[in-house]
Parts: sequence; structure tokens; C-alpha cells
Amino acid sequence: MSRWSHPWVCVLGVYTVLSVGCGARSGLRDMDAGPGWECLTNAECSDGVYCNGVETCIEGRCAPGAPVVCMSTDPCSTGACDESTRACVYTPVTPDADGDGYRAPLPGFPPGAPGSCGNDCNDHDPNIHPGAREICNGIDDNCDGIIDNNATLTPSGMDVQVSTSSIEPSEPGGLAYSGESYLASYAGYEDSKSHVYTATLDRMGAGVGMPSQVRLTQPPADAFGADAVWNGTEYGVVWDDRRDPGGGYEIYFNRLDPSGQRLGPDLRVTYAPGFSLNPTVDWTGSEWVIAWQDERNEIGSGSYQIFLQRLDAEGRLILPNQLFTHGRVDDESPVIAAGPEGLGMVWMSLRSGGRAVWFSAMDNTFNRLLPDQLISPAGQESVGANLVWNHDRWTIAWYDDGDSSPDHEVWAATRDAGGVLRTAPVRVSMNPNYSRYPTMYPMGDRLAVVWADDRIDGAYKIFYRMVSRDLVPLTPETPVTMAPGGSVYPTISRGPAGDVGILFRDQRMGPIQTWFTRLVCAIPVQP
Amino acid sequence: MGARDAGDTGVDIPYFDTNVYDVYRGNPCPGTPPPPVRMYTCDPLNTSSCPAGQSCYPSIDYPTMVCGVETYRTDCFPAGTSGQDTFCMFGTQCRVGFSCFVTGAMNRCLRLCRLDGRPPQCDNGTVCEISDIPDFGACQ
Repeated sequence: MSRWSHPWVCVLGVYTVLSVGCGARSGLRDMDAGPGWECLTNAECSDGVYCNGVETCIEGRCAPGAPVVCMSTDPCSTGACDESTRACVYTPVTPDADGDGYRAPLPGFPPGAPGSCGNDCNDHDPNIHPGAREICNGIDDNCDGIIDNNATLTPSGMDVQVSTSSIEPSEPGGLAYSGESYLASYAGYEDSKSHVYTATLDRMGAGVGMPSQVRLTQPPADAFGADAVWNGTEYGVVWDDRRDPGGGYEIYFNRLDPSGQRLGPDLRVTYAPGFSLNPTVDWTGSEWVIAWQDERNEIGSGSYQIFLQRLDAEGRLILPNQLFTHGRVDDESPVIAAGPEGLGMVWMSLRSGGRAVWFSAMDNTFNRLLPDQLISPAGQESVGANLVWNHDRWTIAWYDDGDSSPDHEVWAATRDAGGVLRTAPVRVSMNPNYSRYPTMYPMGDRLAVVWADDRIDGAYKIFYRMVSRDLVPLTPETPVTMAPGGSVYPTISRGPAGDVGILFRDQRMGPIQTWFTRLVCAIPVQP
Repeated sequence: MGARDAGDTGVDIPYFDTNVYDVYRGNPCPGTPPPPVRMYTCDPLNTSSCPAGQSCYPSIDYPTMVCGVETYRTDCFPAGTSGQDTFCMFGTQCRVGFSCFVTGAMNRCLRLCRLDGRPPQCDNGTVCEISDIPDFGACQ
């Protein structure tokens, strides 16, 4: 084995090593050989790296090779030399971030457009892609550019009792959906004490887990509620409770895991004289927000003010309770909701004389975007206000509760994100009897309005109808329940496969209990 | 949803204005809780259970200690004159068969009703709502 040609290496004197290394394809040799070095054969010049080309021995000197060029004929992929496989590997230029097998379009291209290199209209949700099942959720699930493909909701016809007969009477507090199951919360009396209970329900309303009903409030003191919202990983629940001495109801908050188990101790939100009541909760994307009516500044007058509270994701209070309504008139029963551009809130106020529905749009730190807006028609006794964000506007619903009113209907109106009028108040229900307790499910281009109505046999039943984003009726007013025992106080949530779950109070079996039913999403057959 | 008896105004506790908060790690009142005390001297659902000119009004004495027990009361008082949905601060402002409730839509006189479906029941589209005295409902 000739080693003389590399005396500058061999003079290091590690002869036994060099006797192996020089001229061999060892690591030591690779460091020393290469372009420019003297050589006798091509093999002596190879650096062992494929992608930078094949080194050759030319006229006794090593010459570098030409790097491997990986040309792609597909404009939606890019090629690169892979050293491990010693071959060209071609990679799409657009991502499939949600792993649903469909790629996002290039920036600036609509999904599926020529040259877009991707047709997934939402690359952050694996349930949304071309060919996905379209469901009633206000989203273009199958990326055909049409929200819900003219889907309609139809009653399932199956009502399920949720609260057990051991608690009675019972009535709903809130309903939310985790993506796997519903969380129903409701108040019920046990041993003459009202407690808040939760139950995890499957799509049909059957209890999940053992026990399926859990008592949320442990102290032996009356508690009512709870409103509930899902934030993507856990539930937030809020209720009023008078476990602490002094006689006043206070606001409490907790977080629950998807199975309904509490994630921490109950958090007392208010420390106020008098009653703090009727709390609602929503999630802004980073914080919990709570609104309630509070007597602390008006003890003995019968008047309430609206207070607000922010909590961080772990449920810790951010700043003190915030007084929102500063007048000395009566403001009650707020409903707060989060939209993409801030918060909206509706409530009943006496500031215009009689009971009326007011609205405020605010940022996520409770700064008003406009002065408070009177929503309900002048002179109408308006109560039971509810609020949802629907695509590009707030939709507000309420009912006319005036004893002398010939109306007694469910009404609705819309406002834009800043609180500016979009749709003036219109009747959603129309019949000679009473229509009450509206709640809404936003579907983007449409809206499902659900309420209680006693037009059939004088006994309340749950009704619904679809209306357009501008509140134009799209379907007839349709009964959801048909039991004779009085079905009232619906609270709703989106559910699996486009279902809309409805939790409501019902007396069909005699005792007043909390029941569940659902609207099922029906998509017209597409050609 | 529920109606609350409007007769109690609570105790003046300085309300929370710092970022300190209380948490509750479980039931501070172990054991079987005693039932509320019922001191009923008349029947609010029977309009003739009090002398003429009086009406039977329900009320609650809320506990003043942790783990304390409520006292539910009914007593005859001179009858008020306010009817359904009239603003009120005390039950005795309301006429026979009615009492004052915190409703979430103004404190109002509401007609009393039975939650078990027996008469008297509600009319004019109102619903017999649960109150914080489980023995009586209120039409709202």
C-alpha cells in the first residue's frame, strides 16, 4: 500500500493509523482527501457525500463534482437532494397543518384556484376540507363556497329526562358541547336545598360516565345556575350561591374538564352586600368574562346594576369587579357574548321607563365602543334578552311581556360589531298566544331561533324556526316538543354532526325536571 | 330563571376590591345538613287563611353563620294592593295571593302558585317558577 504520496499526513507519525487510513475509505481519510488533492483514482477523491456531486481524479488532482440538482416539473412542489436516500425528494410548497390530507392554498390564492397549490379552505381544522360532510354549523365544511349547503334543522322527536327524580323541582342553567359530549348544568332541589348539578350527555342525551349526574355545589346552601361555556379544552361554569353567611347570593366560578370534573376549588367572584345574581359567562379566546346583576350599591331600593369580571385562562380574577351600568335605575339579567371583534352584552333596563332591552358593544377589557343602545321598541315591556354573534353581526332576541300587550311575541334585531343598527326589531313568532324565552343558534348565513310557545292546547312547547341573517323567516314556526306538561326555558348548544342540543324545563311526568332534546341537521341531497 | 324572595337585603360586607380571592375546596359543612326550619302560620296559597284584610306572605330568614339553616316563614300581614308584575320591595306591598320576588326583570309582585301542578296555577301565559322557598312557586 503506497503511502508516500501523502507525506504531509503521514508525518504525524501515527503510523499504524495511517497505514489503515491513507488510501482507505475511513473517516480520517475523508477529511484529508478531496478536491485539489493529488490522486491516482476517482475513488481516492470521493468525500462520501452524494448530494454535492461525484468527485473525480483529473490529471492527478481531485476535482469537485456537480451538486445534484432536483428539478420538479410540478409547480406545487419543490425538490431537494436527500443524502440519506441518495435521491431527489419532492415536497409540496403548501402545508397541511391540520393533517386532513388537504393543503392550504398559497398566500393570495383562493382555495382550489388555478395555481393555488391547495384547496383546503381551513387548514387549521381537520373537519373542514373538500369532500367533508357538510353539517349545520355555520361553516363551509366541504370548501365548496356555500355555508351549510342549504341545510335545515329538524326535530329529533326524542326527548330525554336529564335530571334524576331524586332532585325536584329542577330547571336548566346551561348547555355546552366539548366536541365529544354535552355538559348540561341545572339547578334542582334536594332535601329542600337547591344545588347546581352537571351531567355529561351523549348525542342522544343519555348520560355518559358513572355517575352521569354530579352535584357541583357541595355546601348545604341554595345555589342556582349554572351558565356554561366550552373554551376548546375545558368548561367554564358560573352560578349564584349563598354558601357564605350574610344572606346574600354571591357569584361563583369554576372550570370543569370534558368529563365534568372540577379542575379546581370553587372561586368566589363577588364579595358584596345584598344579592349578586343571574351570572352569564363566555370565553374571549384568552380570558373568561362574566356578567351579572348586583345589588351592592342599591341595597333596599329594589334596583340592580350590571357588573363584569375578567378571569384569566386559569380562572384567576383580573382586576376587581367592574361596575358597568352607573345609573341608579334598574339593570338586570345580562347576557354577555364574545365575538371576533370584542364583546356584546344585552340586559333589561328601566332607564327608558318600562322594562326594555339594551345592548352594548365593547372591547375585551369592557370599554364601550358606543353609548348603550335601546334595542326593543319604545313602550314595549321587553324581557328575556339573549345574544349571539352571527357571522358579521350581533343578533339580539327577547320577548314582549306586557300584560296589556296584544303581542306577547319573540322579537329580534341585529347590530354590527360596533353596535350600529343593521336590522330593526322584527317579530320572530306570530300567533295569538304567548311566545317566550328565546335562545339562538348562529349558522352564519342563517339563524335558528328556539323558544317556548303555548299556542297548542295552551301548554308550553319548545318551538323553533330558521331566519336569515337579516331575520327574514326561512321556515315555519315548528314545534320541537309535543308533550302536554309544559316545556319552557330552552337553552341550546351546538352538538355533534350539526345537531343543536336543547336543554329545557318540563313537567310532562308531573314533577318539574330538566330534559334534553335536539334538532338534527338535514342536508338536501346534492346532485 | 328562578324567582327569589325579595324580603332580604343581606348584611353589609365590605366588598372585594383587591386581587385577593377566596376559593372553596369542598363542603365546609360535613355530615347530613339539617333541613330548613319551616315556621308556617298560614297558607299563602289559600286566600282565606288569614283574617279579613290580611294576606299570608312567605319569607326567608337566611342563616347568618356558615352551615346555618334557613327558616322559611309564612305570616299574616295587612294585605297590600299591588297586583301582578307591579314593582315592589316587600311582599306586604302585594295583594292577597301575591308576594314580592326578585325576578331578573324587576322586583315584582307575582301570583303564588304550586309547583306540583295542583291549583292555584298560573294564567295569561305565565309559568309557575321555582323560588328559593321550594314549597311555593311564583307565576312569571
